[in-house]
Amino acid sequence: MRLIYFFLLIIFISFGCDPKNGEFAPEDDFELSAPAYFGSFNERIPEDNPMTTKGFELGRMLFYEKKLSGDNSMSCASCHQQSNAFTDGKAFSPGIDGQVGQVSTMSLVNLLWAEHFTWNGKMQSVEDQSTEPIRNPIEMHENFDNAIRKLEDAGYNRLFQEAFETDQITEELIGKALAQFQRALISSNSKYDQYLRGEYNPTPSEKRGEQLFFTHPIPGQLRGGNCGDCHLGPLTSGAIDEFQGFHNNGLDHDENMDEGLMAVTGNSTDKGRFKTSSLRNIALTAPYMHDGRFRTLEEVIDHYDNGIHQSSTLDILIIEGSNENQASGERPQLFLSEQEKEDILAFLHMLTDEEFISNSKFSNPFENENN
Amino acid sequence: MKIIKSLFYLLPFIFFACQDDIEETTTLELEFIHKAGNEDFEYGKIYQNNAGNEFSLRLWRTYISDVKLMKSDGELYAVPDSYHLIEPVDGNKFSLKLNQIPSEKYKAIQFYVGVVGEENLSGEIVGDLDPSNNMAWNWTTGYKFIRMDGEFQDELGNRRGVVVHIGKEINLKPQVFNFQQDINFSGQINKLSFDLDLLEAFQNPHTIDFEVLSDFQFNDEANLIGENYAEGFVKLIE
Repeated sequence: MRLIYFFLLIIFISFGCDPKNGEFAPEDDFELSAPAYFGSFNERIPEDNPMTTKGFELGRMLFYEKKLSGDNSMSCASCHQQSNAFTDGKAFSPGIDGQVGQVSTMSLVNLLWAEHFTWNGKMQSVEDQSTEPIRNPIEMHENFDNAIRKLEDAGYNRLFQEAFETDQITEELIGKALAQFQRALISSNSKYDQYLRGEYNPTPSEKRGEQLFFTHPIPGQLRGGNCGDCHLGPLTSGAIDEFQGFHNNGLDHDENMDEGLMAVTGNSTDKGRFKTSSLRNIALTAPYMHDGRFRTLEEVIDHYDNGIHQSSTLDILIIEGSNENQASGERPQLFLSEQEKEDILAFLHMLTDEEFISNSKFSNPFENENN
Repeated sequence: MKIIKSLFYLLPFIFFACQDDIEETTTLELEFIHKAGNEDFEYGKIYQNNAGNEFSLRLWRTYISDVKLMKSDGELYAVPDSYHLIEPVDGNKFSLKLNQIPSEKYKAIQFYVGVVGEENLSGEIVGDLDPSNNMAWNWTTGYKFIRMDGEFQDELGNRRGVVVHIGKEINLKPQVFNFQQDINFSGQINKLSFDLDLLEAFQNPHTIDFEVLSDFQFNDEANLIGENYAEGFVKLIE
């Protein structure tokens, strides 16, 4: 008996000094792993929606669940197809009524290192972004009363109980489960990652492409492709904080450009600014830009090299980025050689992650049910 | 009775178990006030540099690292994992709290503008070093020490960029501030305030004329900005 008290006391003593020891991780802890060079992420998971295995599994089912659409014909995965890095190969995607939207389906990847979702930054969280297409009349066009009733009929209550400790299905919980699934969509096993880990030896062209991608050109001193000024670091996505990751990349001039971020902020200096997307798996996500105007990566590189349109909101990182000295007010060009363009293209192909697009954890759970 | 007895034996262990805590510590708050000359700094506001260019910024971030405090006897206390990213978030201010500072009399504070001792982004995330925070260059090049993104209108009326992305070891600049008299850091919290003066990045000793040069990234000219912020850019307010 005495020994028991003694041990109890030892336990209290050892926990007394370091407050960290007092905190216990939740029992059902979903393991997310990502390379250190992506940056920290645990604090980016919302406190009111921690990752759990049951939540992830439910989210995966809902992601592929056609009952969430008005006529049970579409799911999130209709436009976000895993084999295309969660895009659909179209400039604009038709919804259940055959109507098309005005922007291209965005790839879903490494969303933990992003805020302000969709091309104009309208959505504050993955949770908000996840339920919008369900409601949207030109997308899945369903109201949540119907959707929830269909999920109840299909026996989803038990899965919500397991994931969220309530069998009441709500729009909010549908969003949370979908967000958990999407936060787990981490792509970090491309050739580029393998190279960063020292497991892959890049070709000379790939190596040159990496250098060009991340180098801001300085005429006479440094040749650069100027990509990494906006597509930051190994994530190759835009800055996370506020709207720093939204840029006008010279697609149009003032008269014909789309609103972009201005639709959200109301600020005219934000006109034509769009979310800088991740370039992870970019070789699989054609067509490119918010309106899918470029069919190939060659066209995209040509745009940055010699297709920039000047405007009052053109990003200064593009204005100040050329391999040759340009006169004030001259249309910015990169002056890349054909070889340099090929090298950048080779680097972009390094970002394809075969494991990500074939990972069975992210695939359709209904596939064997004639769905 | 047995319980009480065993408790009695354990009492000394309980008291000494947390010996680390016996040394008294306090918190030191470092406040950084972003200025442009005498004016409080604001994003988007137009300022004039020494060369007469009118310019504004949309982003201004500064890394400081390796904060050390010098005690009155000359001994140095090094803040662990000391990498701090400073930016005007609370109006033009930024405040960071250093905890577990030994309660003592100090005569100076020193730190670097820039990131000490890192060569690439492969390592663990320490302090405010985080490859996803818009201050990293690429895998091998490490972090930008100072980042300013802005623009100015040139003589011909064209929009031009003011792009200041400074890194590289040569631009790691030590800052030493001796207190006018020793300061006793004790109690709950103590505070030191610093000004960060934007205009000092473009003057003293090198007056930077944006008409000539407004893009400072990894080029030789970036070192001119480094030499400018080496002195006078950070000022201790006493």
